[in-house]
Amino acid sequence: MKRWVKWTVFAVAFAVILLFGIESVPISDRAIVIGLAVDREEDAYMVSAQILMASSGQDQSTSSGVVSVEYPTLSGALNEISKQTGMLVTLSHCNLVILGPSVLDGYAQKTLDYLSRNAYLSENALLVTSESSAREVLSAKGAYAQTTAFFMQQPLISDGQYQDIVYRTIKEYRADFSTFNGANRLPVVRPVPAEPPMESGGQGGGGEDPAYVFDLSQTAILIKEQYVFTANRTETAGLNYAEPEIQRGGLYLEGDAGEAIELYIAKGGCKREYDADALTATFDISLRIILKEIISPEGEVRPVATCSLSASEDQRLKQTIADSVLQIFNRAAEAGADVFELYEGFYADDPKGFPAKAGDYLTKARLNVNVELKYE
Amino acid sequence: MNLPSVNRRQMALYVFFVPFVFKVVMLPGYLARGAGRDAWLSVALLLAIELAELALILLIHRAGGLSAFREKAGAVLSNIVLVPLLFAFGAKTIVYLSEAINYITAYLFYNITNLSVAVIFLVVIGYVALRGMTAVVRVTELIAWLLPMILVLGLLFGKVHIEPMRLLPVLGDGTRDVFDTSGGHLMWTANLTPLLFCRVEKPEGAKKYYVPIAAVLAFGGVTAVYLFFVMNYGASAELIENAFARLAAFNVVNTQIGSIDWPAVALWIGMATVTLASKIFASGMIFENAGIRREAGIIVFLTVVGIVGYLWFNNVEKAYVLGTSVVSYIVIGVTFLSLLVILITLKLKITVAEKGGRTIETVG
Repeated sequence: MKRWVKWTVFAVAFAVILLFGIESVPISDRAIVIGLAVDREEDAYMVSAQILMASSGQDQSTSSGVVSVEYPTLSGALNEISKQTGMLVTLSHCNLVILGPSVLDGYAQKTLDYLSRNAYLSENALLVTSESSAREVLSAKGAYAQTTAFFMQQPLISDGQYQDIVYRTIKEYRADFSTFNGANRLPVVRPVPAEPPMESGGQGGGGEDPAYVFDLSQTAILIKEQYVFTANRTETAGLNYAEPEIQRGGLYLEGDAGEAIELYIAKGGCKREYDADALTATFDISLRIILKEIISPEGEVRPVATCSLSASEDQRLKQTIADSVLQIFNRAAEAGADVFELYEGFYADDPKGFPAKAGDYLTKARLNVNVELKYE
Repeated sequence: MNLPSVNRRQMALYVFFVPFVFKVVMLPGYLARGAGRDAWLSVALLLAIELAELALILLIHRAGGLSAFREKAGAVLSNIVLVPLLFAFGAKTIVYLSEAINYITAYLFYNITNLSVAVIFLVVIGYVALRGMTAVVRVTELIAWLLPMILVLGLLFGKVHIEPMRLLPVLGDGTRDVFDTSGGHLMWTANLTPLLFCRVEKPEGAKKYYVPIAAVLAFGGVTAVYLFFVMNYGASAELIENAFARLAAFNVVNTQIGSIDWPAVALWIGMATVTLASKIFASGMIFENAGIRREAGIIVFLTVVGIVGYLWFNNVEKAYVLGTSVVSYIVIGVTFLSLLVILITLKLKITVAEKGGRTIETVG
């Protein structure tokens, strides 16, 4: 190609890019949202955004603020936040979305449909719910970090998947919503006043603005757009024991002679098998366990290196784990929630025959749980 | 016809990447809508069609390529065979361009209009097309290095959250949906035709395996993407846009290390440029065969595609309607018919040539 043609093309392209180029918003003019809370009030959404704010003074620390807006639509609410803050709302760093209990009843999927189709919010953002309003939770001051959204994410991300905390992202929520039964689960975040009382950011003293830690041991169970019930810590663990992979966790057992025995789950997982003819599902749970601490009733600490569980203690531990799975299964089945996706399992086993008899499969299905423990 | 030269390695890279590009963005959601968990079988059928196209193209090259066809068939017949491909390239460019623009506006930037991106993108792909197939395959060679980077980032930082059970039962709902879905999305296959418009070195030694290996890897790779897609999203797969970019985030919550899908974004945009530019280049060669300057032909082709796309197919939904309409059958028909006619002509021992205004028919 002739040189003048190439230069002409370059010049035209440069001019086109200048003329039609994207509007560039500097980062200082962006409201970087790190946590989003959504509640529902009458016919409007109450959207609260925790926005990261850089200090412009000599102190180079970052702080955050929560801005709340009530608006009929989510996108409109985000626009209002942009107007109020004078900065363009940016969701690309938002990794935590809190849905208030008012949203769970009938609005969860509608809310998440907008948020997940909005490409700027990662579908890997963590999803939680709350007992009180989502705004209150997002506004609560964290005891060990000034930014609540970061503080709440820690047990869910950095510390791995504990067996008594449910880990849920927007993507996983949507996938479960689309199953036959639509049973879903969300960790319930509960602010608990820090003991001893602290000020936000890890400073002691217990000032006028108390700080909180966040409990995530309960799980809200939903079916499609309806909240059904809240699973307690034991039932939450039961949900996680049935997952293909468990990263870590803790177990407590009372010994044969009344000892306090603490064990650590190093790794684990569950394999599932389905028999559609017998409407029976079998879960084989396998856990690698490390014995951590044994304290006798007299308060004597026993050396774990030379101790091991007795046969009865081992059996009781296995039974405890199996019982937690059965407890959540039975409670959810009574409420009509197929938390373990038995329909999909039975359908995979017998695609032609099962749908015909699937009518009340949940009440008729049996769950067998086998637990294998490997001690290290 | 002055065909550019492409070596076997470049051809293999092209054969590996092009089948991926527009099958892993919007198409996974479309196929999941029709075939559900068997979307991976639907795409396998589309890939099989593409393999068949590649086989025809390789046979054509072995028999002498487009230059030999031009000599044998003469100007008139070669134009009759090649000009309809302009329609195929044009329709595909409109559909794919819309998808690429949607990817850029929806996924990469805030509040940006389609027109801005369309103009800039057309200039880029037009420039690469003007530089020719040599430039196209060299771009492929350069950006191919992003693929190992994606895989390394995924292995280092990614988390696996897949449910293999979401694939079961395979063909539980029968085969009809799979075939119907593939048949309704033929616009997204048979994208290797631009390879016809270059000269490929004769393979020697190990090089003769490059292209077949690349084809098999492309088939396996795209199918694997769909398998992961279904295992990740289950029944919600039909709601997912930009599947490749979402999967390339490897389930990383971007708190500590930021988002790791940027190499996938860069790779995809680069390969989208390559795919579109090669079609536009091929259109230019068709104009050249008809006696019109290639550069002028490219500019005319781009202008027509740009205007038609802007006026009637200016968003991804309208482009999808075009892509799933009867036009897709015409496109696939024209593509394969052209290839078959070229191949048969090359294999026949009859030459129809024009000399001094007289038609001379020779046998032997």
